[in-house]
Amino acid sequence: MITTHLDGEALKELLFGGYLNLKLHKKEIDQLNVFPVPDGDTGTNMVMTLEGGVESTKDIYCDRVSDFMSAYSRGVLLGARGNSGVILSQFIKGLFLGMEEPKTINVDDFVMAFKRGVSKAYESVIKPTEGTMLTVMREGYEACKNLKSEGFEKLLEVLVDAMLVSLANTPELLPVLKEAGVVDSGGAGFVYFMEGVLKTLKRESIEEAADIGSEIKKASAKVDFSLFNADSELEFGYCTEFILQLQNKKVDPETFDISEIIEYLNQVGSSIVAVKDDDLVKVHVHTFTPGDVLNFCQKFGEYISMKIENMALQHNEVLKAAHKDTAIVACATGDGLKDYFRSIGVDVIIDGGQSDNPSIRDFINAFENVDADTIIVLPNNSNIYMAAKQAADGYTKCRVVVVETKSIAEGYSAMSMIDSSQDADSIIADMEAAISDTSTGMITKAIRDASYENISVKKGDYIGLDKKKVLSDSPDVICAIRDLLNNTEGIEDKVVIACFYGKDVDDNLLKSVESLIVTEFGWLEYGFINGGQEVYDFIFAID
Amino acid sequence: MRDFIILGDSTCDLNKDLREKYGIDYVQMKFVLEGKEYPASLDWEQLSAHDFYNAMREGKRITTTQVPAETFYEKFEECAKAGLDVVYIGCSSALSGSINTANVVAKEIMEKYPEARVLCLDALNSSFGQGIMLMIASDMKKEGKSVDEIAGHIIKIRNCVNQCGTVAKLDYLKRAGRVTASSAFFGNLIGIKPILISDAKGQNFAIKKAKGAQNARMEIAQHIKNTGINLQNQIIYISHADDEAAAMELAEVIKKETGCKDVFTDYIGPIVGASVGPGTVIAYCFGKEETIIGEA
Repeated sequence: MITTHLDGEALKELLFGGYLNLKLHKKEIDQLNVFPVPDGDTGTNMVMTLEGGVESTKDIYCDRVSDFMSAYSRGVLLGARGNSGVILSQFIKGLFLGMEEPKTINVDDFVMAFKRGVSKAYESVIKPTEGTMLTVMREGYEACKNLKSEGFEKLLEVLVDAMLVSLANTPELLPVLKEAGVVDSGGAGFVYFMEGVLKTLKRESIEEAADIGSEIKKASAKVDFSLFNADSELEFGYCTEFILQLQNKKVDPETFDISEIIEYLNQVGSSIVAVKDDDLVKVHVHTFTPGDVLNFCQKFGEYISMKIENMALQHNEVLKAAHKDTAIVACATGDGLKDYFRSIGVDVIIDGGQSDNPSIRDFINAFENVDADTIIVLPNNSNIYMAAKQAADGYTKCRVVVVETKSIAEGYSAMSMIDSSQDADSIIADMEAAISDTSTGMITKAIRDASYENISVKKGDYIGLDKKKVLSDSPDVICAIRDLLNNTEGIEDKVVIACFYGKDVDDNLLKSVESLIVTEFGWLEYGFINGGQEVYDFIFAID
Repeated sequence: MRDFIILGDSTCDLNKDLREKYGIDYVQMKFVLEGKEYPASLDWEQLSAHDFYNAMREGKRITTTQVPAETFYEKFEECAKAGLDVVYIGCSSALSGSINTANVVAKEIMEKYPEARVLCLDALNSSFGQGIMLMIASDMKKEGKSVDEIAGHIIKIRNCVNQCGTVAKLDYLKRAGRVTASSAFFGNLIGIKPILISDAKGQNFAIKKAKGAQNARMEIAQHIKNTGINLQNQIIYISHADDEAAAMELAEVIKKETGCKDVFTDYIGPIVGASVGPGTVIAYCFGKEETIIGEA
């Protein structure tokens, strides 16, 4: 279901959901707080601010959006606390000003109001600083300002995804964040707020929002767990740190000689730091047997705290794939397609396609996994392009270029014509030249009756599509393919057809398709590749 | 002045008629198919060209061996005894060790027969690229040029023989270690043809890709047109690995695009053929000096 309009009550429900989600993560946001002063209250302040809005509207029924927003924004302003609270309240004020008139709002109204909110927020600060909540909301707006979507679901997904990217980037803009190794707390709060709005819209419970929390943590910590798997060897051991409370019943804390511990650590580890401060001992050691170390030291006291980390994960920067001039990231679904794209030179595959669009976060994660001067992204689907583009634009660690491949066929064509030993610009130019000649053909089953221009489609029929249009329909798959190819523009001037067959295609059908191509399209050089994809029985790249 | 012979080897791909017409002899390499060793004859006595390439199409592996030292020794000694010098123009050293072997043997022969001269020249090309130089050497001989004059000229022109061709599958060349290409040229790419030249060091080098055989032929014709000099007076030599139709079509495109004087097509012999695989077509012309050195 797509939500195209919101009335006052609906908007209220969404904004309340945003509040709940923010509240759920209050502590975490407090802990992120280092800018402008590390007083650890950003989360609390933002929650209190929104609470003002909730309190002022929860008992009134608001049919009209404008009525609700008027009361809500006033409540928020009255409740505003702290720097971040004031900025947030001004954003809400701007949102209200953008919705002063209507009874209901559509997506475009919301985007316009959001823009107003962003300007208001910027105005509220005498000296706006980038790398804060301001940046996050502004970049969120920029990502969806040209979005042609009828549904709030899509809008909010794009918005939240873009804000997550923006948030992850805040340490690059604000050195104090980078030093502390955190993202901006106000920005994080704002993302949680909007995420709560999205979750409520999608009828997902707010408790689940804990997942987003871990994503935001990931954005600052970035531990790649794939670096240590079921087949990995423990090469580096564990970075082991602990604070030990020396105990009277075990030793005399005052006279305890720490060299006893150091001697032991020397036998089982390296990079040793061990200090005694009164009756506390603090130890840092790299060892393959942290359990032995802990057992040994427990002879002298009990532990206050400890941290043990596999250093294969800590070393992720060092262990990453070798540096390349140009790396290629491509989207594909189906094991066959994924393997195939890898075999022809794609460095990282993002799992996703027509019915399962990858998120901006998926792209960012993929970018993080390659070390290259230039990353070329092949979205291979027109619905994925936007996310890819946003991820690319927001990524600052290297140059990222999206080549707008609208189908798997175009992705294949782009990959097939490049020479990877060339520089990035030549590769991009070759890809673009290659896809300009490529026609896409796809065969799938119609899931409902429909009519497209001159073709009427029956549910259960095989239909042939190019990137956008239905070109053929038949209960017989071979007929559907024949008509699809015949209706492919300029088929008589084409020279090559690459056929990626899906997971439900058997050998007999393949033989029939081959014989169709040989007898009726004999001028085409052809070949079959097991794509293993769902949905599309065949994807043809016709050049 | 002592008389001399012009000598090639199994990769020069000159058929019997041409060899007789130009008075060119050749020493044979060997190939092994299903455990059986065959002399790499350019006249296909023991195994027809078609059977040879069909074996490859069926996936049978054919391995090749360079000209044995013994063969060189016999040939060079036979000439020395007969009072003949030798100008051997051998397969590109990037593709075969024969030229090195020949040099070693030649030294021994010249020590044993101090009056004899055996000049071993690296063609830096194979197939007709090498064959063309043998024919030129032969023409010079007829004009009364000395072995040194011929050697000097061959060294001068060997990088001006331009090769451009395409293979059905790059896998054969890769397995044989006789191509420089980035990994992007490998893998199961449907209908994508690598365009190959012989680089300045005599190694095959993939310079670009073409979609489909037709585009590949056009690319080859364009390469010939761009690198060839005085094409209206040249015969363009086209060799093919059991794909006469493709060779004829390439000949037509080249004639049309370059306005060359004539074309000549023939089979790629067993040694080059075992490396490039069935379906290969290669065109050769004279032109600008090749300066590209392939790196992958």
